[in-house]
Amino acid sequence: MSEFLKIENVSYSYPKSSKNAIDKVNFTVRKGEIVGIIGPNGSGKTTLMKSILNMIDYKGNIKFYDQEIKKIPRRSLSKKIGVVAQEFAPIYDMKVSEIVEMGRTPYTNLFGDLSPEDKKHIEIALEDLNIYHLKERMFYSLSGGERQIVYVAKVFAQNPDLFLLDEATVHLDIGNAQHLLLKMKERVKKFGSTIISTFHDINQASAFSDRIIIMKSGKIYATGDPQTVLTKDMIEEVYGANCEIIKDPRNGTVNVFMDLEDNSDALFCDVLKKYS
Amino acid sequence: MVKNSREGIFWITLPFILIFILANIAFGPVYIPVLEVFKALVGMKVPLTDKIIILQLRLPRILLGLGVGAALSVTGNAFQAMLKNPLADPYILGVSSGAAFGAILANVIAQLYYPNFVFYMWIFAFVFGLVATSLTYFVSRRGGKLPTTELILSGVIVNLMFGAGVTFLIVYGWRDVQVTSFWLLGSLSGAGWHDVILVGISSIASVVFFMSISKYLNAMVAGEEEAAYLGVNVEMMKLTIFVVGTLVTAIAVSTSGIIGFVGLIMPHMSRRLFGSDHKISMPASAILGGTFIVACDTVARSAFTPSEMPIGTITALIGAPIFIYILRRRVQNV
Repeated sequence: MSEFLKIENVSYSYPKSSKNAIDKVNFTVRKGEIVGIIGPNGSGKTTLMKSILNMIDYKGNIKFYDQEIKKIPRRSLSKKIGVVAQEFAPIYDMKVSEIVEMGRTPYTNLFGDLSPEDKKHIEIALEDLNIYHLKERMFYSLSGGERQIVYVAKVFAQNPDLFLLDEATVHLDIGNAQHLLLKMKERVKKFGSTIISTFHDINQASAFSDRIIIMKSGKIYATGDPQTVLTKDMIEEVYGANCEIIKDPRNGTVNVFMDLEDNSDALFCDVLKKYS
Repeated sequence: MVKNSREGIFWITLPFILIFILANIAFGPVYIPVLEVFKALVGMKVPLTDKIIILQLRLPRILLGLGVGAALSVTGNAFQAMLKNPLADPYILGVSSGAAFGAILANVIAQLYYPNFVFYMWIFAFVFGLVATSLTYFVSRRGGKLPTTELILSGVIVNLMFGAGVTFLIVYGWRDVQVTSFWLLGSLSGAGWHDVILVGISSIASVVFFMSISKYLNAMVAGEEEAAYLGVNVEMMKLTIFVVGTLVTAIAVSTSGIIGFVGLIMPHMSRRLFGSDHKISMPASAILGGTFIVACDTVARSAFTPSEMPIGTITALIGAPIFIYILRRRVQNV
């Protein structure tokens, strides 16, 4: 079977920067997989996402359905890949239904008329996310959590095979974040969609992902299922943070707890390691 | 197909707006009863002097106003979506003053050296309109974004610069300060049928064009990246809007001078009334912009007889407070 998404030796450095923002990154994603990407600020998570979207002129190869991403026209690409970023902030207030309809942009004719097919996908998106009742509301009259769900509905209406979530839960409280991630999981079950998602919150990544990719300074530091890659040493090495790892007794999900106690002992150990 | 109630309201109000526009023909230095006006328009018998005033003087002037208002409003509307800034418009961005400078340059060259140059007036207006917008755009750009403050400030500078250029050219070339006010504050006086045809074609074409890209404009309202995720070729789209908008503005300016604030407040008003979907807000802002100019021109030509007030004065008197209102509201929202 051919790979769904294959990333080979992908590098990119921003203009006026001598360092590569991502450096010879390699990995593949299977169809139906949920991949979480974590790493400290500036480790290249967003740059990697932008490469997959062909928004920056990367070096290397990215193959999507065995086709080089750079050769896929933007409109065809947008039928296959949908993006949920940190927030959706239009300059004008719009009705929720108008925003969800926007997801059909790559499919509609020049004047944006909706076909029965378009309407079907809009209905599915509104129903799957339980926001049918918000349809006539104005976007900016909604709470932050509701807005992010409307944003997701727009991307559901777009009906992509691959969802890229770029820190989609970063501005949400725990309840709204849980709601969004559960809805994404439902989508994967129902449509066999694939998700690549970046996270700041390691615990969210751990609970959500089948596989985790850890990035550090533009390179893949480690990859594997959450239970194996999320270790105390890894967190310290990559983030420079002291923490404890505790497994959820119910399902084995790994959770990271930040240590705010006096860590002079740990520092002392570091010094010993360095000079021994 | 009527999609929702807002679109319905638009189509219902349309005939009333058209009747209002035609009723403006009645007013001017000489009042002609409205009934008489409609009689003349449908070809019934009216006194010859009235007929000449209505069909040769006032009708072309009103149609020109309609076209100019529509062109400036749809351009403003498209610029606002493109730049993700509800305060953008051809006047604020300096397109209008750049275009006026170009038009006058062609006129001065025609007057002093080559009389044929007057036919290239709108091409000159187009070129200098492009120069002016590019200047505003690049001066205000900060890391791929156009912050409101920078955009307005650089627009002010570009406006002042080309405004000075206009005055200089007029005084140097014509030695006649009177025409300065025509160009800098706009006027529809002296409108002839050839102006109406040129502006009419360009403004109808621009409304149709901007309606046809309405779904892309809708997508751009949430930012360039979001638009790209939805399959929009953003750079290509921006360039097209930029060129088309500048072209229709240039044609409008070369027939009627700089008329400010229309392109700013009318799209805003149409979004308030009919929602922000560009498929409705484009034709709606065209109609509202046209009506606004026609109404302002009626005041300009009939309230101060025997002299005439430049129309830009009136649009500015109404537009400036609305501009301040939008700016204040925006600051509160951010």
